[in-house]
Amino acid sequence: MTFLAPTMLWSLLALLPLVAIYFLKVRPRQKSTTAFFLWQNVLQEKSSYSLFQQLRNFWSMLLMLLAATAVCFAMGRPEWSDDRQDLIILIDRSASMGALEGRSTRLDLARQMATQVIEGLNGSQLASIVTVGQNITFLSHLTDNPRELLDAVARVVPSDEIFNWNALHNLKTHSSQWQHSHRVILISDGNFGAHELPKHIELLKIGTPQENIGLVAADMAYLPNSENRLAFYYQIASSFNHEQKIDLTVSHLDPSGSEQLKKVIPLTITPGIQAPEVFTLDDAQPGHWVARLDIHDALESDNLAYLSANQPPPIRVAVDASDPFFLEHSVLAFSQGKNLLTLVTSRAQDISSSETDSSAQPQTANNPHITLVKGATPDATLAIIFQPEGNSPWWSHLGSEVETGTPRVIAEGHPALRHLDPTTISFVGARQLTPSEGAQVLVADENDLPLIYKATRSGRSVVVVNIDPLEAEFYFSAWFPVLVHSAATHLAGREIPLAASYRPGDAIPIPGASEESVSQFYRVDPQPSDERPGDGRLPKSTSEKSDVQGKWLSAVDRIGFYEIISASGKWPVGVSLLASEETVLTNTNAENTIKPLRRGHAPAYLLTVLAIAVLTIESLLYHRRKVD
Amino acid sequence: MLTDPAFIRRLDSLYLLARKVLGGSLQADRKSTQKGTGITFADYAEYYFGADYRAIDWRVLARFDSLVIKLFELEEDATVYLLVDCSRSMESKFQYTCKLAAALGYIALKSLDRLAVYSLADTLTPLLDTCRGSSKTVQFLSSLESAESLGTDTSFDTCTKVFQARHRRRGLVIVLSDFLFPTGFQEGLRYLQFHKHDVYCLQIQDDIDTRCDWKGDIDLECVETGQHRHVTITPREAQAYEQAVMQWNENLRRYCVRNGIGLASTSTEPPFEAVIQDILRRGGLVA
Repeated sequence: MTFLAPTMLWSLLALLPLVAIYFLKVRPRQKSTTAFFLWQNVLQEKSSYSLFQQLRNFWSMLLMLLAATAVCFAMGRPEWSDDRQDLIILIDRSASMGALEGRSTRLDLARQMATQVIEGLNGSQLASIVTVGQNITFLSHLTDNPRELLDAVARVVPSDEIFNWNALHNLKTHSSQWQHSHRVILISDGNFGAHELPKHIELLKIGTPQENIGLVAADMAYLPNSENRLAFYYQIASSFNHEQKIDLTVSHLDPSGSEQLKKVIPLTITPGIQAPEVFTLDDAQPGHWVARLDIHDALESDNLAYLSANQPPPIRVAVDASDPFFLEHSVLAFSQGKNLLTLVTSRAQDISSSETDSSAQPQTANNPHITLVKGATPDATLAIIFQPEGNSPWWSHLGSEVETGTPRVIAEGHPALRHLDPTTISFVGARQLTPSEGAQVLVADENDLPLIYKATRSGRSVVVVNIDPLEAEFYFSAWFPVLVHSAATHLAGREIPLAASYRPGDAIPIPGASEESVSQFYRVDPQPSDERPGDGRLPKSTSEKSDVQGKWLSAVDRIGFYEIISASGKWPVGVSLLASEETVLTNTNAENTIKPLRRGHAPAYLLTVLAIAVLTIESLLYHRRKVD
Repeated sequence: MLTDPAFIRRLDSLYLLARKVLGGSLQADRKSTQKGTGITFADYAEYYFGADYRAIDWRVLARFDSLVIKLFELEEDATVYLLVDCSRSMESKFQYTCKLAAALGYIALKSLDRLAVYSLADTLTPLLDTCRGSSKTVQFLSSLESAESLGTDTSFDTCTKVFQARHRRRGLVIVLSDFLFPTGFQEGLRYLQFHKHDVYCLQIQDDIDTRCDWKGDIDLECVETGQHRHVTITPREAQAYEQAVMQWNENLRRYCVRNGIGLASTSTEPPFEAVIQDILRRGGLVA
């Protein structure tokens, strides 16, 4: 026998004062009598019980001690053996758990199974209910209260999340903080490569192989150098045992939310994962697109792919220099295709350009305006400054030119240095300077002279390149336009382009956002009636907006369309399931690995019952002796 | 206070009542079967050697030439012995018992009877040596007042033997006690009767003696011997005890009736005068 709370056994020391108190309690009242001899005559009849009478107090005390000892041992939470451990009941709430098994979903079966387990425990063990999908969520702390656990099970709701192995690692991090040893039981359909399940997690498998077809990959992008030609990439998987002929429809959602059918693709789906295919859509408009498999199968959520075709406006760059030729051509080098850079030469042109692009991006007027400067400090919000000169808030202690050593990258992988190898650049004409406070040095020489750094101040950001481009012949270097482009896209917050669709739980980059900025997002649901109840993490209607801080949006765990409103404008985003492990509902590889669960009442419960029974008996004896 | 004048006045009223009940002078009422030197002729007897010459009836000698002596009734005063139970079992009713003893002794002294008072416990202790006359009243009452419960047991048998050793003179022995003697009362009473005493029992008991209101575990202690016993008293035991006390008292009553012993039983609740009046009216104390 072991004790889960052995420190509580110190309460056995309370037996000593208990004995003392008991002797005081059972001490009989002293009464004097004038006819003692008569009492002796009367009590002679009870002589046959005399031994019991003499030992009765002793028996009574023994009963009291037995009851107290039972309570003390119960507080120590004894266990018959070591295998009665706390239970962590993981309930898989990934998308595949929404598959139908007859009339119920797999999640319904999982909840029923969890309920049975909890009821079988009879409050004899501590247990906790945790859901696992993209993340783990504790719905109850460790408790032996069956009501609390059952309430937690009732709060498990379906999701469109993808089973995340890393979430289980997070569970391991939590488990290291738990005081007692524990068993982890995963109630799941096993649609996640269950053979890779860690040995310390026992699988309680529910569900049977189901026939299902779903989109497991989808993407959409405008083809370069073409007018509104949209490429659509998709991949389909099937868990049917035989071929299926179905249609894949591709529709565009107009601003009112109604679908405009653009293409119907008849498909013959063989069992397994199909080869990916690509087709193009001519005259395709940007915005929301829906790809739909025309089939009713076990899992509906993977029959849809929500896609967004984005045509972001180019980043507008102005040049402010006495010799703008090379600077302007560095911008023009990236203005051939859309979505890159465009050169603006005056404020008027900037405004007219904004009006021209208003159809594609209504909030173009708010797009950042980046200024390329040489030897000056511009009064712009975003700027790339070459050859620092004079006084500036972006540097101080500007000294004379120094001979620089070998450049070394301080901030490896920084977006402003993307596609750039700064170590091959000769920073001739660099001057001794001190960057403004809080600046991030990206490249410095051996003597820590800042060569490229980024500084942010009062909502303004600049990238300072400490080089004399003419003397260093940097204009003739291939790295010059690359540096301009990378720094410009970084300053504009556009270093990571938006994908057509994301999986639930993926981190979605917010264009134009900084770590400090606050953006908004909301769900655009063309079919509000499909909303699943109970999920409080997402907006329930298109009008309900949520704030998100930083450059990433990771709070989206339901499939559908979303809009992100950032400083750079409004950006449509699609979220689709697109996960073969959730679509292929053949869980034959998964096997039950759960060990038998102990049932029945805990020793602590039995000890408590014993203590109550003994106390009742002792109380009767005491009452009879003292009160009768 | 037994010597309090008010208390003595109450005793006086009892004495008056006694005279009225018993009639006349008490001294003349007590006729003795012994012959002696009284003034009332009783009988003739043949002269025997050593007889008082003054008792020879010379007229009979002259007429019949027979030497006889005249016998006269002995006019003797009665002796009243008060044996007051002063054991520790009487503590709760000791004052009451003393009042009763005071009343009886007062009447005796006023009637010119001889009075001796003893305390009963594990042995006999004199409280008042034999005395006579109302002048001894205060002494008598003081001796009662100064009496206190003593002893570690009540040995009635021993006490009666000691008493008899001290007083061979017959008299009226009034025993004031609860008669809850562990060794029994029969032996002592029989002993007194055997020695020609008129015995009268005045039993005083209170609720402590006759009832049991305790329940549960009790450490029972004998007030006299200090013996202890742990007992559990249920209603059954309590009832058994009360029945045992009743049975004990019934045995006393039967014994007294069977042996011609006067008995009066009382509790401590009625006034002691009422008890004495009741005893006098029933004539229980007339020897």
